Amino acid sequence: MAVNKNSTSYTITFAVILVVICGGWLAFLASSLKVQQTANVKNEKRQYILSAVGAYDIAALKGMGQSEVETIFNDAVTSKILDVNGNVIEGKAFDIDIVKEYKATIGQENIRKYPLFTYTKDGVSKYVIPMAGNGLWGPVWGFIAIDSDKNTIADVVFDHKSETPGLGAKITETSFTSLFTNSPKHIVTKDGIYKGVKVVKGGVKNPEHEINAIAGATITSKGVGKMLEGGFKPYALAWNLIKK
Amino acid sequence: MSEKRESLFSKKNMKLIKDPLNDSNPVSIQVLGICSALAITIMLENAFVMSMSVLFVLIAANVIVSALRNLIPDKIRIIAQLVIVATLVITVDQILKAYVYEVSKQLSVFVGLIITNCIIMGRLEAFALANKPGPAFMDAIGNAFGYTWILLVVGFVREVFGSGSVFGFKFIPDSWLIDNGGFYEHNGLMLLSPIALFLVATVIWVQRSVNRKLIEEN
Repeated sequence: MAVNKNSTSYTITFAVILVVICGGWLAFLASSLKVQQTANVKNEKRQYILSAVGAYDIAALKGMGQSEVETIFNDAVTSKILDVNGNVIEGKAFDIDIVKEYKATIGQENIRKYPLFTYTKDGVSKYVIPMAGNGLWGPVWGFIAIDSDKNTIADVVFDHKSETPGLGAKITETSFTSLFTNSPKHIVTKDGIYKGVKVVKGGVKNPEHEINAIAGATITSKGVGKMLEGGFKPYALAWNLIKK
Repeated sequence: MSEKRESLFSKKNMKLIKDPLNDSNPVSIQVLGICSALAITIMLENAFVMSMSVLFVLIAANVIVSALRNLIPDKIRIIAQLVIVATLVITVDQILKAYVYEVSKQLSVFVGLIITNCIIMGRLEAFALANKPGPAFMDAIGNAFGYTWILLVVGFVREVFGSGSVFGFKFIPDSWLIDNGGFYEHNGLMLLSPIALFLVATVIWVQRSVNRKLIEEN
């Protein structure tokens, strides 16, 4: 063969061709799967919101087709965006990626957008508040459903990017989420003082506003706690539960 | 290489599959790919999907590199292999995200880390660069399954003793748990990475007790 495999020009040519082929393939793949991947993320969000308000079991939702979930969601859920003072602002709440939104506005809560979803069935409304915070290894986020009294937590759904399975990852399991529902938890006290919900270690003293941390997953629990402690405030303001 | 065309399933080629399962197992004998064996064996399901991803990447990489073995310049062969492996890994990652979203969430970063799996680079260097695509294909299958069975064993033990259930099937009844007034508590150590080292070491010990020719002299 005439080509000298050890020559510099051959090496460079080979490298360029290889990279162009690989890069081209990946670009093609990424763009052709993009639609499906975005649909998966949106579908998951709808599932979380519908399961948080107790409309459907999460397992049932996972068994449904994406279009079915979308139809149910669009029929029953409306949304709006609040600012930090609880005033309604323009925009599409569903398109807000809550993790990105929280991350982009750390320390600038005044420009943060707070989405609010309202699920209405038979004239009774429940509310879903998405929230995000930091776990041990990455972001944690959740959808907190509030009863029609706008103060009692109806149910919660948490998720995380990369918490330790069996420890921090337990925030997604009923052993943790049931702590929010087995006795009523409130955002605001009877006297109209904002409390949020705290995650505490070593025993709950105020069962209306506190839940126990997960043993062995202190940092993840703290992350969830931090997110829950302040996260309800704009909503409490919007609902006139506390004074502006 | 003999001039005569060899069958893909010749005795020699079958040996390429069998050896890595036992005598030259990539994990227990060559001690490669340990990092992922530590990281993703907490749950059997993750270990399984990870194994299948490695199987795909290893087969494709071995065959592609073997097919290109006369074209890849020596000087940049490692980089060229890395580019090919990285492309395949991203392909797997994207496909998982699009079609098995739930699983891809569980595996999160670990799919990306297949790139750093020493078994893949090891096989490319040691085998694919010097052999035809047919045998390279067999070699990839052998090594991927050699990796798979260890991962599944470790994953099984860790999930049973760490979480009490496998694929939703409960091995430890809830009523045994101390929380429910029983006597049993899940072993937290099983959920942490170091336990995988002990388990891999146990596998190595058992394997060498059974297969005594693996024991080094002196």
